[in-house]
Amino acid sequence: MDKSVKQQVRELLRKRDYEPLLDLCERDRRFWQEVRFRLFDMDENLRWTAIEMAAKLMQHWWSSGQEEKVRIYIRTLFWSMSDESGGIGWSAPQTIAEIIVNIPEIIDPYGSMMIAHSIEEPPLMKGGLWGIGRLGRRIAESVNFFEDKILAVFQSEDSEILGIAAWAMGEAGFQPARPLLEELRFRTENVQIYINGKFLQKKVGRWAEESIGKIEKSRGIS
Amino acid sequence: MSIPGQEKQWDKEEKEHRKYNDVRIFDDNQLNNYTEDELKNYKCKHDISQLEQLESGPWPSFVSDLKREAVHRHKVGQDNLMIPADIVDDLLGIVELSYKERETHWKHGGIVGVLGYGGGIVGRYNDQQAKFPNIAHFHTIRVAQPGAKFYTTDYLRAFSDIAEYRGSGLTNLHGSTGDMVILGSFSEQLEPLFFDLTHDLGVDLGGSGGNLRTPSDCIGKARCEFACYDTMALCYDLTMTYQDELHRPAFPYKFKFKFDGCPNCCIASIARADMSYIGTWKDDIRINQDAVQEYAAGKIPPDGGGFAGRDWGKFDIQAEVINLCPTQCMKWDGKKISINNAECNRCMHCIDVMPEALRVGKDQGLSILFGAKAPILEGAQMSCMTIPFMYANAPYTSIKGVVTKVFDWWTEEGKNRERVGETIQRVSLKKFCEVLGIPPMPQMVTAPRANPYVFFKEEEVPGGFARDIDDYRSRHPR
Amino acid sequence: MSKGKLGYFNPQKPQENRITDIGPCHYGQMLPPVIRRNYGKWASHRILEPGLLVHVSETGEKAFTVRAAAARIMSVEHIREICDIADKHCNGYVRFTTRNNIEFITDSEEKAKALKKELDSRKHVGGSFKFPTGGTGMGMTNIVHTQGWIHCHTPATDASGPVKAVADVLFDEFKNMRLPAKLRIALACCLNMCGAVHCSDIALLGYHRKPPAIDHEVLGKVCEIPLVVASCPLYAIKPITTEDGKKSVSVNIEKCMYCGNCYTMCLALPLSDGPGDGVAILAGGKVSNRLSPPKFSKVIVPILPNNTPRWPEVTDVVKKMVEIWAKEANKYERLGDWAERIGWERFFEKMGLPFTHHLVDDYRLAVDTFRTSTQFKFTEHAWAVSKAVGGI
Repeated sequence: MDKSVKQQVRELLRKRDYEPLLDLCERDRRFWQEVRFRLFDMDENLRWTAIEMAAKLMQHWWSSGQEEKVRIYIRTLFWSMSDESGGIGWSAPQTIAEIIVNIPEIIDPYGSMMIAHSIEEPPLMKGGLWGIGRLGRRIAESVNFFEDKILAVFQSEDSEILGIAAWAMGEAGFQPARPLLEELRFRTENVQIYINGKFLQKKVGRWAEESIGKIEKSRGIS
Repeated sequence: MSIPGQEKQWDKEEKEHRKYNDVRIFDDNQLNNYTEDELKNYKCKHDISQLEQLESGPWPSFVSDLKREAVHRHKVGQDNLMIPADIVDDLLGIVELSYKERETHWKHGGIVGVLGYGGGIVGRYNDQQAKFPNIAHFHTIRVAQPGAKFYTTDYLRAFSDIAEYRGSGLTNLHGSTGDMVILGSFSEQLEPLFFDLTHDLGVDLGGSGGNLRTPSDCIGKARCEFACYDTMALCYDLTMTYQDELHRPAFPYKFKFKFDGCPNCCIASIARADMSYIGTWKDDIRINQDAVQEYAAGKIPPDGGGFAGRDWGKFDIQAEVINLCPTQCMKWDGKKISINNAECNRCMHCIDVMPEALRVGKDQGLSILFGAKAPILEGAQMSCMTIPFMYANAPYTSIKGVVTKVFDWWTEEGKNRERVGETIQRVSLKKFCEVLGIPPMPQMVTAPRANPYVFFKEEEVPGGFARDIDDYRSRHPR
Repeated sequence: MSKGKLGYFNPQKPQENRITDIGPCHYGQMLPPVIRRNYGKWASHRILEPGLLVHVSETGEKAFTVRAAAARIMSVEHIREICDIADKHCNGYVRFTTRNNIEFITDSEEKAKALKKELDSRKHVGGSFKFPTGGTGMGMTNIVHTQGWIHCHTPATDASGPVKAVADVLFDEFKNMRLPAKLRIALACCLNMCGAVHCSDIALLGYHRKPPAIDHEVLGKVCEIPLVVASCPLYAIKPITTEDGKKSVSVNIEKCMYCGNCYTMCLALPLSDGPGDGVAILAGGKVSNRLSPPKFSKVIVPILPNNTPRWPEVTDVVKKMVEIWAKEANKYERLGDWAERIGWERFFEKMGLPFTHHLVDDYRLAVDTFRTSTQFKFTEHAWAVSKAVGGI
């Protein structure tokens, strides 16, 4: 357990220096191991950049012909969301979504599986909803398939879940969520969501309004 | 490795842990709050007539034990408990239902945990929520056990209070891997429970998931004269070194270390551990010839007196020790025993029979075997002798070097849900030797291969593998 | 002191005061003085009587250990009672063994004997002993087991119940040391086998007997189909498209041996539990390297019903097996050693158990179990084969 590996990975993740870190991961497995440990980190900055790093590494493996290796890693993430393993894949849904963004062709079946494995598990719900938001329209078909379960999250009392769900519905252009979003218009709790490398904080009502706007637009387009 | 700012917690070797009275939750009145009569008169609100048939008979009855916890919880009262007071009553009820229907009522599904850790807590929900609302959740928490499961009563009492206040009051001492288990908590109580354990008890969660599971060890040098290395020290050191691997699952599947002090294998590492550390020696068995004569004369009972329950007749050292030796390396001339140590395979039989006369060698260390596992999926395996002898001296740098090689390779090479034993089977033992950087040795196999389908490396074969059909035809026309 | 719903935890600031990665308590905090003083100096031991060990150090000091049984699932009330006893007799120290027994360590024989008496005197109101002493030497010690119907979601049988039933029936072997060698019994409530069930003298294994039910509605959306197909060790699963165009799988029920690996990989394949579940009995395994090398347990009874609450069919077979082995084996012969010496045909004959097709290996490396020699003994099984071909 090398102190310098730990330190190097933390520094590079904080600086979002993905290229050199990818290099290190390829040359020495211990760097990749350390990135995977950071997926559980309590520090949000480290956690999210670790998610992005994992996805970039997967994209690199995929484009260099190591497709099976990528699938094996994704299955490890799904396994950590299965209670059979006894594990808790805290960042698994987000990592899977981020990988799909980097490797679009694997959305079937991993996209719908990501929703299935996370949408009903309280510790994973936020991650799954974030994943829907991140994938947006690309995952619209699966969102339709899981309509009931997805709309059920709006019963939650947790403002963070409501905020992320509200944002995600807009990204996916999910019309059936519209009435539930209307109900959220006047909520004032602050919710922070990681979008495109930044933490954006808005009131739940704001997230809902913006999403209503996006849904309107998507109706216009389709 | 310690987390910056937590050095004080890390640096707790040899220091006293806190006394029960400093951290207790229940006062003495709450602890002794029911009479034997009340226990006798307890009637579960559910029918448990089948389970009650398991109260008779001499073996300690778990049903009787569960009942006493139910009574205690009722008397302590819901105001003083963070988990339903009736949880044990409902557990009895749901198990009784299983006894009637011969099916379990626990559901597949239920991810729960504490932030920052990828394991240690296994979620469980029942599928009869309406009938048994007090047991709607029944998650188990694994708590890291101390070496060889030695405890002080202070520690156990504090643990009991936490397990009863924030859990169902039921535990497993211990789980199969070795952890202490708190059975039955609710999702909202998990973080508070975790804080109680770390702050008041100074202990961490165990592991679960695709990770390094909580290592466990035999009693070793703490009380056993057979132990060939300090199992407790090595187990503790490796547990602390690999906390990341334990709490943040990043392996294809689970990985277990187990530490046996000698080939008697009391912790069954050879059957259960991906990496079995089994104590051994490489010099001569120590002999006290006077004591040998006492055994031969029947003055000291064999096997420490373990056969005392039956009259096996006079102890016959020739028949029971010399002739039974699997390598036939011993001689007895009526006065002295002699052992050809080079031919001894250290099976422990003679030492087990005459512990007051024979002792393990002084030049001690351990063997490392890899790959044991339960049948799922390709079949059961026992671990395979790989490294015949290593010294086990702190800080165990060489041992950790081997572990690092295995972890690095298996994380990359292992398929999903493939224990390292199955990976080795798939890629071949000789490939595993290459990974470890060790030459093969006959001691790894019971016999060399019988099938002659041997792979050669290209560089071993003159001219390499490239074939030229024209060249061949020039010597062998069609 | 931690009180209230949240104790030390602040949900608004979950990181505040969070302590992590501290591992177990250091064992040094837990060692009784006599152990601590003689750590690494132990020279020999004796078993003074069942349940009472003495270890002698090079310094001459002695440690007396009293061993008592426990049910593994333990209420905190029980733990507190153990602590009361340990405070009274052992200065506040106690330990547990690998096989879930309790051990109390003192530094004098009189103290140990008084403690033993006290332990053996305590009973539950229901009549069973709370802390029966024993489990040492050539006898049976505790029965390692798993969660069963108390907690597990994949069990084919209960754990605590059959263990209680078997241990009651074999209680005398826990209290005495009159067997030819050690007897190690274990139970697993399903094939996942949490515990060393695959290498025990006698093993009880919960077993399912039905292939999975397939939820075609959701399977393709919830599982990765190639993975499900690959998860079956017998290649019994193949991908299909249902009549209404859904991607799913089919299971060849002729090939399925209900191991449940597909269910572990995919929630849409519940391995339905039901009247098909039961208990298999295995025998002849061992873990220790003493005399003979470690060996696997072998299936000797493929299935017995879950006749709650006492599993009489199971306890009958186990009791008979122990009696016959105890009577016939040589000193030092583990059950598996004895079975191999007399030959498995003789074992089945003595046990009066049928040798059915279930017991012949047909999985990987089955060929390794074939008897490729002329060395056999004649039993009724042999005559049945000869008669079947008109040979006699």
